[in-house]
Amino acid sequence: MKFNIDGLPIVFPYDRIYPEQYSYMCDLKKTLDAQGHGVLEMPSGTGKTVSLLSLIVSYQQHSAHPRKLIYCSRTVPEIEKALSELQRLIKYRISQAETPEERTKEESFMGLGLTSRKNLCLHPDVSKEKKGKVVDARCRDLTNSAVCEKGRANPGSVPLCDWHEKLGEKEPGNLIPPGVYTLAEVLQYGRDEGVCPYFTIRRMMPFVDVIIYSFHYLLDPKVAEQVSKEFSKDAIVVFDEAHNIDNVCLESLSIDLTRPMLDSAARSVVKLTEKIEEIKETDASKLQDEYAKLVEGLQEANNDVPDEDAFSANPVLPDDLLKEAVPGNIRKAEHFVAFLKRFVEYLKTRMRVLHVVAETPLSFLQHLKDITYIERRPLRFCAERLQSLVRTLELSKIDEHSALQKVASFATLVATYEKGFLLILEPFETETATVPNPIFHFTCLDPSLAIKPVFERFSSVVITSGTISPLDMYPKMLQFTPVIQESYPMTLTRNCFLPLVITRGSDQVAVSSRFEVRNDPAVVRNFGSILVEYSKIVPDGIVAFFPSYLYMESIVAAWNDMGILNEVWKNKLIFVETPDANETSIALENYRRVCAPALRGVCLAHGMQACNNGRGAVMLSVARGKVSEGIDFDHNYGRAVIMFGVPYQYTQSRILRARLEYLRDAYRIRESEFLAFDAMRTAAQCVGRVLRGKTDWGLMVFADKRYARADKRAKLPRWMNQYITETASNLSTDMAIVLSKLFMRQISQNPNENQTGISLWTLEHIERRQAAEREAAEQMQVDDRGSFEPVNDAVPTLDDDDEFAASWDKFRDDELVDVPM
Amino acid sequence: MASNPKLAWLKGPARASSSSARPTSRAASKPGTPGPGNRPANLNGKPGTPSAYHNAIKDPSGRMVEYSNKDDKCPVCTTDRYLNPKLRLLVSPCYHKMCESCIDRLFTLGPAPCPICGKILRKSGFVAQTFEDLDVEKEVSVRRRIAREFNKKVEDFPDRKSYDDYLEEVEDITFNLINGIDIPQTEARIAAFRAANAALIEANIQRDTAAAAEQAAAEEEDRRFRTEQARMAAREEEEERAERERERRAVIDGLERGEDAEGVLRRTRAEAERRARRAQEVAAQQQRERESALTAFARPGARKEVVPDEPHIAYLDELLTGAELYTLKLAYDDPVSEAVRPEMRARWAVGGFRQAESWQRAVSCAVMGLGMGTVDDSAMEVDVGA
Repeated sequence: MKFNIDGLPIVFPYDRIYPEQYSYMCDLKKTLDAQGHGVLEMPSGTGKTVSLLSLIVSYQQHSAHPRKLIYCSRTVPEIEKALSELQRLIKYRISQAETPEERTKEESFMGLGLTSRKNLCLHPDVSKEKKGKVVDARCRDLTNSAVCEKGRANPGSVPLCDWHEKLGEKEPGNLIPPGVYTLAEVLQYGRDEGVCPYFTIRRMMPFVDVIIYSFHYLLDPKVAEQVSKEFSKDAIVVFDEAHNIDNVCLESLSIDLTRPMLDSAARSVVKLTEKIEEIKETDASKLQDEYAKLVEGLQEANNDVPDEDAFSANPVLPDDLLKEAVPGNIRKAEHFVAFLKRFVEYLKTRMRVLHVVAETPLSFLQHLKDITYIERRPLRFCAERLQSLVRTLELSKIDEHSALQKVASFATLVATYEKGFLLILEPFETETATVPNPIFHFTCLDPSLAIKPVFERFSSVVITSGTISPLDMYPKMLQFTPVIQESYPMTLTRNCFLPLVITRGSDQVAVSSRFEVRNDPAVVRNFGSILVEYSKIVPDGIVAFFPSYLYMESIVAAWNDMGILNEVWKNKLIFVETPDANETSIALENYRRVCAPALRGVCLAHGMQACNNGRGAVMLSVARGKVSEGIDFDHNYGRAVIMFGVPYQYTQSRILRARLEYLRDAYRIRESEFLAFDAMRTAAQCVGRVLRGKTDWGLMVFADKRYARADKRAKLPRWMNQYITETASNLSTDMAIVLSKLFMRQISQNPNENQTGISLWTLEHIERRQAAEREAAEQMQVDDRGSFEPVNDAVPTLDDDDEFAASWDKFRDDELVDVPM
Repeated sequence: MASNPKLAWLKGPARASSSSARPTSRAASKPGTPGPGNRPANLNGKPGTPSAYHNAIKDPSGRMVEYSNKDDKCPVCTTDRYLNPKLRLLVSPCYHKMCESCIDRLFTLGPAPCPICGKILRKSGFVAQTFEDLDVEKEVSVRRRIAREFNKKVEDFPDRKSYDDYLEEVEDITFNLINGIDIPQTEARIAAFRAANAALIEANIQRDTAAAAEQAAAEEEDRRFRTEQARMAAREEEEERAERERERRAVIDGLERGEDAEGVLRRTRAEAERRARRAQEVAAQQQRERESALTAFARPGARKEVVPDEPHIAYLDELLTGAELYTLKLAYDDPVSEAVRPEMRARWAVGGFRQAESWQRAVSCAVMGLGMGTVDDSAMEVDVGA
């Protein structure tokens, strides 16, 4: 389908379009035109990715100076999905091209995805390694420039990677023919041509139009410096699934140190000393060269470092600092190693304290200076200097020194930032533990610090997800000014999901996961009876979420004693998520097997125990766990999701407390406000798992008395809130069951109504809408003529929701009457 | 160690905690008996703890503790932690460890040779061990000495490069002292430096002390500010809760008195709305304050009163914009619009604001009347905005 938005021709790879996709594109275009930032929330499963890509690609192809798109997603499967979506879009664009020039333009469009070496390696030995870090280190051993030089000068003297070597034979900038490749296809291409897929992508990055990779490549300063530095300022940055972006930001600037790490760092220092002694005897000129370079200044020393050599980039150093030379007291290699040793010893000493210490970076630095005479300036250059030293010494197996690297980046961070960080030493893991297991947390409290360079560097940053309500929280936390901030409602021809708020059990006892009542037998029993009742009426899969592992364990144990689990077993199998990732993925796999209708027969034929049942299953999982993030329970995998309690964070955690305090002081966000926001976004994320498209349907049950309060519900995404009716916002279990039964009876009818025109648009509808908009705009102008008010209030706001809500309401009424029983 | 071992065992913990009597008891203790109870006190590194071994690294903040290990063993008397649970090893100026009882035994009667290397030592020279690695311990003490004299600042140098060279020289000297390379030569260098920079060293010491005091004061201020903020936030929240509670009570009281339920409900709703509006106003006020603080120039107090906005059309017959009288330039020197922050500009652009349009309007306003007069000035080309 082809249509215009404000003069921009859009090619959309499907015949029909959802109304919300259209509004999304309009707003996105405005954001790009204004070169500003945007926050957009669009219901999950309504084709966010495709509308985003189709608009931006149209935008790129239309303009004379195409802006590059940097699309960030969370997981590898999501990256792969986005890439294949892009591929389909380009294929469609090629088929729709009218002139041969257009055609060649479309064909020369390039899109690539980037992921870690571990996923892209072809080397027979290296790719067998299990840990990403080890793969990285071994790859560097085979591909860094010093080794390559040696290997090329004297073939066979050192092992080299053939795939990487082959890459050098190709013309740079033309390593892979133009087009869009998924990760699997790049791998296949690498296999066919015998070239390294990872470096193909890395080196092609300046030439591509669209690059898709993970958040960390842009947010983590250690990685971003290497991977993302070449992108120009006008690039368009999109963070998809960005509801957790603040946590990603915090993580990327936080470092935890433990005892074993410090011991390992100390060992690394000893090894470095030995290595320096050795080099001094064999090849002293090397160290001399490095020294001379450092005297000149750091910038020169690090100039032209090829990708292969940059083994661990540095946490952000401001530009003016990079131009500064390395301080004289760590210029010599032996001085620097002694410096590192002192610092590691100091940290070890700090770890011996048996009481909790919380201090600011400044007070840490002062203490460090008092005790060990380490100044701030050399500390700041620690990571940089270590990198230079490692390169000079041509160390192999860098993964063995990862602890030392961590200490070095800790040093650099602590000396670089004054505000927004806190150092917390926790000597014991839990309150009751008696054996000390100290952890030194260097925690970032301000999510805006990590994302600030992104906002500063790129003119358009779009943050989007299915659940990022309340929208104004994100600009506040991340400290940016969005030009557009929008949440879209979901247009449906019939209610395909039913949110219910259960506030009390059938016996009218209020249910809540509030700390005081959460272990009350009446509450536990009522939670149990919700599960039992729903397991009776819901076909296929049910997913239940608990606020924490601890609570889930205690409640499941209580249910076992009460015989509730036996009741559930009569109807469904039960799977439980555990903190162990492997165990959970096995549970998930079996859960899926039980719920998949196509597989049931197969399983029966193979006599698999878990599948003899065939009645579906219950997955008990934890909010913020693995299941709640990134795993979809579409269609029959999840017909109902039950949220037991409100998933508040554990507020006694010192890190969280510090963060809350910081938010309050710096941004005037109240503790209770932030906690409620965080709990509700987690809840929305959990229940959102069940609905992954407009053909999907499911029940969403919020079981806690606190969900009945308007201020809590207001924090849910608009598209969810829209369908919580007054009657469904304060139910007891039996009433909820009645409503659910009714809903399922309706939904199981054949949807013979035509969705076109309401929740599906053809070209005609778009044009009709645009004409209406123009008319409205003209009307506005007529109304406005003569007044000298600023224009920005006069822009016609598209009241699409009302229009559609009205038509939708009509439909629903019809449906209720017409349902053949 | 006591006459009645059972009693001593019973008394053990009590004695360990009473540290006040410790110095005298140690002074009185015979050689061979370890001074009881001093280890816990020193472990905490409390300021002002009286200790015979005052040369230890001073840390009044309690963020560090003395080093001790469960495998500790005195190399002189081979006592270990199994035999003496309160074993405490101290370090001599020649960096050899020995236990307190050995030190008492050997050095109470005056200076004596070190049992390991033979250097003459005094009891007061022993220090508590801070770092696990004794080399670092030694390094730190060397650095303490060096830092006292080599305290030049970057401001004392013409450029960064010479400062860095100076730093490297200091590091070289320190390195030599630590590793015992060319000691006499190095000492001579130190002496020469001291002689050359005596006045500067003194001045810098004073400057350092001042800076440290300043930082401490700033930190104290910061802490006070934060507590104040926390207190205020807590009070605010408390007030709000009280208000809510009062309202709830008012509802119940109203119902109790037999008022009309509808009326009570209406009143409560109005009250809640009013409160929400007030909260919003406060938030908006704060927002404005922050924004005006951000914006460099003061904005005029526009929009004091809202004038009813009726459509006003100046010329009904023919709209003379004077477009033929001027040619619009691509850009004007316009300080007012340049002072607007870029992100605000982007936000306006979404709304449809174009900079050029405002200039056009201003220019056309300026020239609009020119063609209307009796004088034939229509041919006049107006140069606007030079």
